[in-house]
Order: sequence, then structure tokens, then C-alpha cells
Amino acid sequence: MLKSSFLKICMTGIILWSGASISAPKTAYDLAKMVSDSNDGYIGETGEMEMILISGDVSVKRKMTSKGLEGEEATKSLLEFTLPRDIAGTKLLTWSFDKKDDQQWIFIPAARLTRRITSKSKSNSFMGSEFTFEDLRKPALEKYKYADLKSIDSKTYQYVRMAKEDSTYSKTVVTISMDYLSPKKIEFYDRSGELLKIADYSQYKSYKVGDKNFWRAGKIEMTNVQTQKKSIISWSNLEIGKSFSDSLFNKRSLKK
Amino acid sequence: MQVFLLLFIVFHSCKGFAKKESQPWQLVTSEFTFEVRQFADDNEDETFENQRALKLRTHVEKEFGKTKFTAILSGRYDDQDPNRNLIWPEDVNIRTRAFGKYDLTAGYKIFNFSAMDAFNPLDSINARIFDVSIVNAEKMGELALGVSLEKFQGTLSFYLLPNPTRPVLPGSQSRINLEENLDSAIWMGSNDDEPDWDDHFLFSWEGMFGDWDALMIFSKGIDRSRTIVGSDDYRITAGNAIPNSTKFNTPYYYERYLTGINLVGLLGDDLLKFSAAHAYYLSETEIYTAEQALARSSDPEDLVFPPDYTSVALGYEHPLEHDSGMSSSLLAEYQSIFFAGGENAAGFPLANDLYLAWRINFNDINSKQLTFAGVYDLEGNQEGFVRLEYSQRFMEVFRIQTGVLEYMIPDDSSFTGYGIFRDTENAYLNLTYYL
Repeated sequence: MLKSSFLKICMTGIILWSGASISAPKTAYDLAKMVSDSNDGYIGETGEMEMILISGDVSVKRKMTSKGLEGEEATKSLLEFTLPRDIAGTKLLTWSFDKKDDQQWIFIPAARLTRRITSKSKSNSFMGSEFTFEDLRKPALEKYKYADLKSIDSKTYQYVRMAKEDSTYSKTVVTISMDYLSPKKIEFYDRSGELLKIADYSQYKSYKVGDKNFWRAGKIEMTNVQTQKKSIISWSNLEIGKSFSDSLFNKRSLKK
Repeated sequence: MQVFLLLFIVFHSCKGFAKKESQPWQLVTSEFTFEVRQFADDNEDETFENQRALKLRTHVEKEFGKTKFTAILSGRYDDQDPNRNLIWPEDVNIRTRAFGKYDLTAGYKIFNFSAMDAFNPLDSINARIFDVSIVNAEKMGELALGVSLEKFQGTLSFYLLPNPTRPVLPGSQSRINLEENLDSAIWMGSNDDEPDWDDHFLFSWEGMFGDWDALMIFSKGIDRSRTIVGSDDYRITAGNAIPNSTKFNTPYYYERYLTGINLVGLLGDDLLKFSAAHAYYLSETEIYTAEQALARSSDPEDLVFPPDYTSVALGYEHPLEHDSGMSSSLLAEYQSIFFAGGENAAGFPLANDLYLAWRINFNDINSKQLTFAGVYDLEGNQEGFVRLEYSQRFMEVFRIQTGVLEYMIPDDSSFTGYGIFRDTENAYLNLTYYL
């Protein structure tokens, strides 16, 4: 009985704290933590992703399905490519850890081969797009330093995020919508400190899991301001709160 | 050619499937490749200098609840080498889940137990289509009946392999140095008879040791990675090996137990790879080889059989970033094979070799890739090869792969080793259309 009451008090505390999270953050780290915490408890998610790569007058399409699983130690994601056809069936498994280097495996269907790839690939372009592997990973809170919190307006804040270890960028400037506790815009600066890319997040939708609402952008538009190339990711059939078996996110399951 | 036309019709039927999503079968991928190889003139009228081939590969699937049927079929029509005109199953199998945790599989299956680019001592379960490339020849499906389950923090699998697939060897017109077409392969078992196939099996466990990917196998089967061509029809008279016929064109493959382990892990940004295998052959029947016949040798010391061996391979992969947005990997692999008796009597290749490669990914819209690779024999024969290859996608549905393969083969190289590849240097171009 005591235990149950204690649990209720704790739960109330969490809910109140969550409510309080909408109030003004005091530091950049506070805001980053609020954003990170707002995403806790999504359990698992799945969706179809379409990416349009635009370079001048040329545009091509890439398609893939995505699955994600929330975990205590690592967030796991599985991408399976469906377009272009020469890489159809290729799968990319990523384990993103909060405190240590990520681990990645790629499955090449023609060879029935699962290969481990090094985490250094995070700075590589993702399928020739303006997104890098690093851009598409969930940023682990403790792997970054945060500074320069600014209030743009009552519902929009901005902070600077810098990787503690090796990164593609010298810094990123993150603009957060307090309505969604999610990014509205991210500016990426190259290693020489010049503005490289801008990602605009839009078409947010709310997904309910239990008592909690999760916001997901339906579209991310990444513009390389140095080359004027652009890549647009849009999501469809997104489902949050899905329960996946952990065994779906291991190296062996890629072959199935 | 008729068989190829049949496959072409299947290909176009699949195209129909692809456009109608309501069809019960899912077309996963289908590809059509035009292959061209240009060899240098070898001053032989019987062999070809220019080789053209068409290859089709189709992958369809169907799921019925917990059961999945997979069919991956390939076929090739080669205008020069009739031995390479064939249709073969890669994976044609049915898989189902039983009692909630057992995955049962029946049908043809390709196993891939490779951890490295060039040296993969465990990856010798399937038969291959032997060709002018010494590494990574195409695999053919193996008939397998298996069960897998999650156990010991990994996947434990057991397969029965009741009917070994016969390897495909090049014909006499091919650039491989064969004087005549080879006979059908003979399996050499423990009693020097066709071995009892019922007891061929494969155990494997695949999982992780800490952060290292690990794979262990234990298998009994026919080793189709090592071919000995000759005849077992000879007699020993007064200390001389005297053949009883003039035919020395039978390929022999020996029954063996194979045990091995692969480990792959990260060291900072680099990848470290380790692979080791031990092979124990069940027959010691010696073969009067084609090479011995050419040399007219009657010395019994020249008779060969595959000696038991332990193979150890080490690999290292170092990623590099470039300011242009490109990335590349430097690869170094080394393999050493320790033969029982200390001698590579059968002259098998890749026994003490170093592989170096530099693979450049342009990370662009067309996935351009450039690879420089080479293998060099450290044993003193100065054998080896270098390969330069470029590939890229274009028009979204085509992929082009082109390159040159150059062998370094001294005159005294064994025909069971690099010697077989003499005069097979070539420039190649593969153009693939993806449905």
C-alpha cells in the first residue's frame, strides 16, 4: 500500500515535471534535456521514408522503411532500402549508445553478407544526400556540450550544440519549438566555422502513446548553402508506440 | 539459349508482378546483366579472346502467416563457354516458425561465413562457379534442411546437407588452362567411395562476445573449394606410379570436417578481423594429377591428396575521410595456411598471401566506387594479382561495373594454384539493369 502510494506520488511528480518542462528553460542544457526527455517512452516506431535529392534541375527519389526501438542502454534502428532498385533489400542496423560509440552493421542481400561498419562513417553522406549518418541519428544528450540559450519568441528557443568528440561539424545551432519540444530548424557549421547546411523541420504531427503525446516532423528539408543542393525527407505511415522484439534489431536478424 | 529465353520470359513475368502490388508474390529484385570480357591473345585457336554473356537474377517471395517462401534464381547464357550456360538456384527454400522459437528451413540455401574481402577460410560450404577470378567466385545454393533458434545470446543453427551441389568448372574453350572438358566431379569419402551424404551437416552459432561479432561453425561435407584434377586409376609398380588410362580430366573433391571461428570488432575507428579454420580430410587417396601427366612423371612423390590444414587470417580496415565529401577504406588482410606435414603438396593458392586494397566511395547520388586491390604471395613464388574496378549507378535503374584484372604468374606456378590462371588477364564490363 505504502509502495503504491509512493509510486503514485512519483508518477504525479513526473507528470508535474513534464508539465513544468514547457516553462522557460534556464540553460541550453536544460532545454536539450527537455527535448530529450520529451521523447522518452515512445517504445518503438515504424514508418516509410521517402527522400528526394535535388541538384540543380535534377531530382531523384530514394525510399526506405524504418523501424526504431527504445532501449535502456541503446536506441536501435533498422533501415531497409527499397529504392533505387540496385540496393533494394540492403539493411542498415544502428545501435546508438548514450555514452559510447555507436555500432553499425550493413546487410548486403546479393552476398547474404552482414558487415560491421565503423562509426567513422557518421560523417559520410547518407545515400548521396545532404544528410550525413550523423544527422539522422538521435543525438545522445551526454555526447554534446550546450551553450548560448536564446529566446527567439515565447514559443521558440535556440541553443548551440557542440560534439564532445569527433564530429562532422564545428557546431550546430538548434532552434526548438516549445509547442512540440522538437527542432524547428538546425544550422550546421563546417569544421572551419562556416555555415554549411540548414535543416527545416515541418508538418509536425502528434502521436499518443499511453498518456503521453509525441511530436514527429513529417518533413525535413536539408539545404546545403555552400552547394545549393537540397534533400527532402518525408515520412508516411508513421506509427509510434509499437512493440518490437529486441531480436529484430540484432545482426543475425538482418539476414531473415 | 532456349533455357535462357525461358528465364527471360520469367523475368518479364516478374516485371508484371512488380507493377501489380495486389499480386500474391512479391518481387524483391530482378536484374539483367550484360557481361563482356576482353582477354589478350593467347595464340590458341581453341580459346576465345572476347567473351560475352547475359545473366538474369530474380528474387521473389511469398509469406503465408509464419511461413515464407523465397526463390532466388540465376541463369547465364555465355556465347563462348557452354559450361557457363546454366540456371542455378541460389536460395529456393521455405522457412517457417515452429513452437514459437524454432525456425525451420528446407530447400537450397547460400551460406556466407565471410568476414573479410579476400581470405575467408570458413566460407566454403557452397559449391561455386569457378572462373578467372581467384577470389569470390559465384556461389550456388546447397540443399539444406535446418533448424535455428536463439540460444546462448546468439543464433544456434543445425543443417543437414544431404546432397552436395557440384561445382561448375570452365570448359576447354575458356581461358582457364584446361586442355579438355573436365569429367563430372568425384567425391572422395572416407572409404574412397562416394561418401554417405546423409551425415553431412553444419552447426553454426552466430552472436556477440562483448562488442565483437562472433561466428563459430562445425561442419562435415565435401570441400568444393579445393579441386584436384587427375585420375585415381593408376598402379604402383616397382616404386613407380603408372596410370592405367590416358584420361586425367576428373576433378576430385574430398570429404572433410571443418571447424572455425570468425571475430570482427572495432578498435577505435578501425575494424579488426580474425578468422581461423581447421580442415580434417577423411580420405588420403592420392591422385595422379593432370600436371604430373603433363610432366610424364612416375614419381609417387608427385601424387597428391589434400593435406589437413589450419588456416589463420587477419584483417584490418582503416576508414579515411576526405574534404571533398568522399570517404575511403584501407584494407590489409593476411592469410597463412599451415599444412599437415608442413608442405603445401597440392600447391593450393592463397597459402601465405597478403591482400591490400583501397576502396574509395564518392558518397554521391550515383554511389560511385573505385577499388584498387591486389594479392601477393609471400611464399617466394612472386605470384599474385592486381585489380582495378570502378562502378556507379546511372539513370537510376542501371549499374555499370568495369575494371581490369592482371595476374602475376611465374612459369613454374602450380596448376592447382595460380598457374591455372595464366593468360586470363582481362578487362571487363558488366552492365546491369534493375527492374
